[in-house]
Amino acid sequence: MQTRVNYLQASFFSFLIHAALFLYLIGFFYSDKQLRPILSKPVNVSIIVEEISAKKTKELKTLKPNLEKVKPTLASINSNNISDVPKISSQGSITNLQDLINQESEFLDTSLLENEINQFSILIINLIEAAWIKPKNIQDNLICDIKIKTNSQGRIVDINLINSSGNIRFDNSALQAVKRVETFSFFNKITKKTYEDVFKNIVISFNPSR
Amino acid sequence: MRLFLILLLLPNLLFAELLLEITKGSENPFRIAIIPFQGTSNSVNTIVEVFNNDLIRTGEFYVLEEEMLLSIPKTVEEINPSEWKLLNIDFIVLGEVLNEENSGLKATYEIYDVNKKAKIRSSTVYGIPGKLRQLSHYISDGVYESITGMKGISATKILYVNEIRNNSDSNYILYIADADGANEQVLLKSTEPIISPAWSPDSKKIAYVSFETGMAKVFIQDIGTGERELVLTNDNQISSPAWSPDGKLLSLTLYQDGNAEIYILNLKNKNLTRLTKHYSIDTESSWSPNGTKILFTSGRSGAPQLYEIDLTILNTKPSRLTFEGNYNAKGSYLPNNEGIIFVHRSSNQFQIALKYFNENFIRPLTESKMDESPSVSPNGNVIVYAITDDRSGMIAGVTLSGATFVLPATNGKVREPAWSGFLR
Repeated sequence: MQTRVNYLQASFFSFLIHAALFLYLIGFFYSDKQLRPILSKPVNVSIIVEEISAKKTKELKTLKPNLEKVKPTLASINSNNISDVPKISSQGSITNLQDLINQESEFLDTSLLENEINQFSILIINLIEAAWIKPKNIQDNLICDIKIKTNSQGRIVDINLINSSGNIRFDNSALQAVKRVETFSFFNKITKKTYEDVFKNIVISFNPSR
Repeated sequence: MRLFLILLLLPNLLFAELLLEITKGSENPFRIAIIPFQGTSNSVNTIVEVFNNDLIRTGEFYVLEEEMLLSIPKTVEEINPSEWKLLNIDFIVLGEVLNEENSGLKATYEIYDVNKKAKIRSSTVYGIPGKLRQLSHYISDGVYESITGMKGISATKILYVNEIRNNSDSNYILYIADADGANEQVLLKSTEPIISPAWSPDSKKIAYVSFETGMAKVFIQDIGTGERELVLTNDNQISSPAWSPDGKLLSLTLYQDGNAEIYILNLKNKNLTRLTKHYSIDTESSWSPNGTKILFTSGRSGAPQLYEIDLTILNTKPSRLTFEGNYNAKGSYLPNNEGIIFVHRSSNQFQIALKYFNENFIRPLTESKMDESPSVSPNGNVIVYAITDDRSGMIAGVTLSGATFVLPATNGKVREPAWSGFLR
């Protein structure tokens, strides 16, 4: 009789666990409330960036009254900034805030720069992909890297295979694709600094297995 | 201190390079248009036809039919790129063939890149009227190289043996021909079998096995002078000659003690070095492109399989390379040492297969029933082989890009093709 009760208990728990699993799978515990904070998060962040960069142009002193407003929104930017916020005191607040503003504007600048880099990188990739004829009957998972040097007009002045795939036909087709492109005509739209920092030397990795 | 900081920062600056990844490419062949060549010579059409066929045979080009041309520009300046873009043409070839003084021919050709809207090559080749095909092959190799970036093989040669039967007796003829099978010339004629022709690395000499003395013996023949030399005068049967890449050594199969083993012969001092020692058959040796390894067929596992032996380490055991099926033989290396080409049997079909060293499976390249004796082109892109049945034999080719072709039919049973190196 005793054993039967044990069985009963075991099968009861088993039922509970399986029922929970089943309910989980059919989405019983799923609610859109859980999703909401995740969805709204990026929206918050972008507003903050705008707010701060707009204030950057104003006098620093006028910022002090607004401190309370900025404070809660700042907290949601990222965890790094959260630790900074409690440190704001009446004396140190301005310099501290100034740092934050500088950080933010730097962040804004880099994101602008990133945008520019991304935009031109995509153009470069498209041109090379259009020129690349992939050989047939080659091994899978071949990768080769080619380093190119460009001049400020976008002309490729130096091509080097820096990492061979081991298959001569594959390496050759990649080199040929770069040679066929020869010039990136849109380089005149790239700022001089970005060209010097980013686009002067480019490594192109041919990886068709991706 | 400042210097130290700069040194610390230096690696960061050096590696701060933009890395772009290319994941997509086209698998379609290059689309080219050949504008009918101009010129005073009446051999213009032959030249264009030969050169056209050369390009198509590579499998890497789609050549637009002449009727499809929307216009016939006479010079590069007359080309309207947008018109050719409509036809999806990547490159346009224009040319001219002129009769020179002292009965020579001068062919000039230009290649125009439609996407780049610019001329990418302009070349001149000279020839004599008797060697029109050679001139055409030079043009097609030039076009092939400037578009694909790889050396062309149209101007190379192929050796093959033809067996012609008249009633009861047979004649064996060793031929040399252009890579497209044309322009064949007899190198040797014999009433006894000739097998296993092989090129020296400089493509000036050939080695082959002839049974003219009643035994299998290896001869070396100079192609230019026709001079022949018996390489070993002992009493053994000798077969399967293969040259080392430096041309100084010849690997051979000797039936010294009634069993086939591989030896290396020094051509200068005629010293023989034994390479294999096994009671089963070891034969069909071939050298790796850098000369450090020898590939051969061995029956040591009970069935023919390919083994490789390292020549740089003394007394090494051969390592087995093929494990697929129960027949893999007549192997040779790809020119860049990426893999091997061999004959593979899959369910009663003998086909030519490719195995890359970094892959653990084989890639069958042909589909007929009896394919044998594969030989790789010097640029590694094309393989010629013999298709044989009881009565006839012919030479076919397959490119790694997937195109197939058959060389012009000749009478008799054609077999054992061997591809030369680059000739210029």
